[in-house]
Amino acid sequence: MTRIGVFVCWCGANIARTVDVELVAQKASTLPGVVYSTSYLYMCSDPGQALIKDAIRDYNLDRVVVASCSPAMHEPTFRKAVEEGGLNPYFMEMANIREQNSWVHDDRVAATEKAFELIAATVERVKRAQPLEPLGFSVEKKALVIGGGIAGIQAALDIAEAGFKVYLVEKTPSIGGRMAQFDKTFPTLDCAMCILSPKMVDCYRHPNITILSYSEIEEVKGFVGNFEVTIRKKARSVDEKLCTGCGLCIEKCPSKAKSEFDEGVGERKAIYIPFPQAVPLVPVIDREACLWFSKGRCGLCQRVCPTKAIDYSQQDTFIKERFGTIIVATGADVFDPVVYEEYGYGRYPDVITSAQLERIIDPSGPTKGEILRPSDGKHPQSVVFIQCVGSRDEQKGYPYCSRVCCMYTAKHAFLLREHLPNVKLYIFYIDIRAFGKGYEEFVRRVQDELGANYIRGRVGRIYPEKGKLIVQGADTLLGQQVRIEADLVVLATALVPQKDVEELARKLSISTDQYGWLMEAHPKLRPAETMTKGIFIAGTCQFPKDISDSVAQASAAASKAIAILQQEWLYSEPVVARVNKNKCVGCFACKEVCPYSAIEEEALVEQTSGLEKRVAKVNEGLCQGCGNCASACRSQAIDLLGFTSEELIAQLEGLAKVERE
Amino acid sequence: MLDLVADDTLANQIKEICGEDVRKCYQCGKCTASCPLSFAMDIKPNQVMRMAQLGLRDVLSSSTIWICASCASCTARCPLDIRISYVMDALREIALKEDVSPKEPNIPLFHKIFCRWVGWLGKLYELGFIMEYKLRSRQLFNDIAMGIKMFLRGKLNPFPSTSPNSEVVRQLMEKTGQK
Repeated sequence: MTRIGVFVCWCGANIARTVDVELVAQKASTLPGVVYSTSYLYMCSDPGQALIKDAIRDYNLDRVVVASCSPAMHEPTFRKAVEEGGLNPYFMEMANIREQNSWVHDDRVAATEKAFELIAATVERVKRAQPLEPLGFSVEKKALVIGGGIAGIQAALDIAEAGFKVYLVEKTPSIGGRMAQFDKTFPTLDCAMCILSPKMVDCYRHPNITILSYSEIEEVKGFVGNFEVTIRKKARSVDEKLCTGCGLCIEKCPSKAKSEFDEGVGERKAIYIPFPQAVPLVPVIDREACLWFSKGRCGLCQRVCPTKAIDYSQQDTFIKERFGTIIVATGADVFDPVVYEEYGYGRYPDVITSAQLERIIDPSGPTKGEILRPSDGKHPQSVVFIQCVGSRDEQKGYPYCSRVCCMYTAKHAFLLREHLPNVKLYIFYIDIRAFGKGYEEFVRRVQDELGANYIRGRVGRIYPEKGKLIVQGADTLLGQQVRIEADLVVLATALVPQKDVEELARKLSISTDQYGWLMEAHPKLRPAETMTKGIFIAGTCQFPKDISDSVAQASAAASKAIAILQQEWLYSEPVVARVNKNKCVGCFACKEVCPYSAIEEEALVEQTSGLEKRVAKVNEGLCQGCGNCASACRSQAIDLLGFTSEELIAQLEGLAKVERE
Repeated sequence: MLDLVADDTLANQIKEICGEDVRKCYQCGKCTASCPLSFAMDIKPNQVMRMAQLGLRDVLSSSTIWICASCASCTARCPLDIRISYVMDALREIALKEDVSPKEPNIPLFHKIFCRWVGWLGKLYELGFIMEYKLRSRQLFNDIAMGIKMFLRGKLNPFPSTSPNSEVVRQLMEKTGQK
């Protein structure tokens, strides 16, 4: 006969307000198998846990039921308390009388009765509990960082500094990401490249970091401590080992294309290095623009290369590596404002995006840092900025605020004033969100000292008239429609998820939100983790954020990753599925419903008949204990440990057995 | 100074009539920025939304609700997908129902006379309609030049005619409360 202890929590007034906890504790003591029951103000507090430990010793308990909040809240707390009391931690079950009772009911009598019924059911369940032991795995002491922007760079450096090997995989030909495209950063006006390129070089030189540029993730298998990742190294057509980065090939290349790095404002050659500080400093051939690949002639680059590094026959190669942990830092994309027909982006050359202006301002950009408008290459006399293009828009864009546009627009106004002292600056805004350290002061400076005219309102229409762009907007503070003659219009476009992020998320078994941002495990308390153990997120792949926040999150993700890499062994919850091989008929319905690819096939030879049969086997490292397989199994051969059919049916029967008044 | 006591009766009325929730508006002003008639309005479309949010019934006596031509530029561009032209319709309806004397009395008069003629004949008899409107609005001569031009081009039929479906149109008018 089992000896069960029942511990009913008041949770201050959270439970006690609606449930007569003392009466419940008293009634629980009459349940068959229960030898001790009590209530306490806060069961999760130190004295509350001591109460449980003492009772296990004093009453010789072998099972424990804690009636309190959701197991999502305090199951680990009470499991630990029970373990310290000398029992297997899985001999404790929780009855949720807060979220599933006191918080959702008003009737005290009924809620008290329900609390008792939930406890009675849990008592029946805990009688069938089996002792479980945590599962152990070894850890591959190597990290994978996906994305070589500032977040990925920071995370890779942090992990490498802690003494672990890191692979930094970047999709484009160079690491550096968005930040490399910026001229200055807000609010300090640090030169972006001056603070970024030392970090890029550090990555390149660090003995623990391997940079795989122009590479993408092909396949991810395995689980925390033991991820098996296949990386596709795209054909660069240039041998990285032979190339010295002299640039002769680029000089001679006759074919041009729009530069992605310059946001289409400038051009690059078909063989190119995206920007002068690129890491690695190795060109890549754009096979669509290259004459050799499209027309089968030219071959100039190969002829002029002094080290014979050009290799037209290069193919994509695949690298298979094992990693203990993965950090995703794939960044964000910029909203395409072409959907706003009223703004005329794409129709009027002098309506540009902020990202394009960033390249025009940059001294290493296509205009060498001179502010020239695209249509006629003249200095603009009057510039209109429009904020919230694609942000805060449920109709054509995204409902969220992109968080950085207010600040980068203020920065652009500042830099334009610096370049063109007499330019007239107008900024249409709805609200100014300058939330960071020194941000509000910066915006004030742009308004007060630099004379940028902030106009509270949006723009309804832009149309050309006599060589000017007429911006028709509203000033809601004046209560007037206003018209402004502009030479250049800059759209502060929203940040949006990368187009291919959903595919990557699928490969990694991590989730995205309704827009495509990668989901954090908890928005406040686990901001750098995903729901998949061992996979972390950093930077704008999670949501728009500025450089400071990206770097902070990257270091947070790195420290979480290091915590895993430092372990020799990892232990995981033993709540995993188990297959009864005798019952399994090998239909593999379980394999189809498993979201973690944890079901494997195993060959068995039946002893009596000598026939071979194939049965399901659970990879306990991959299994997350969701229970899909158990409910899909046609022959009831799969049970989820800790949630076996026997336990759950006992729980239901316990609920049915309660005598109701 | 305005003694502000927030009251959502008006917002609820609007929602009931046209289904649009003025409380969604965050005052970006894109409606005002897009409106081709905002120059002629005494309060601007975004201010109409604001007054409706706060329940300020003075909005019902504004010129704006009558000057609005229902071109729906505001609606096409509203980032929050509020159909502002529907809200204007609703406000006109409330103003009529509550007998708020319109700031632009000729506009509702025009609509009323128009509907009555269409209700009678199932289609518009332009000459009769114009004459009645001119008499009742006491603006006998201001459009006479255009009237003559239209007459000479055969745009104004001197005799009324009825639509074969006039009964259906009459029922339609009755159903929508325009008698």
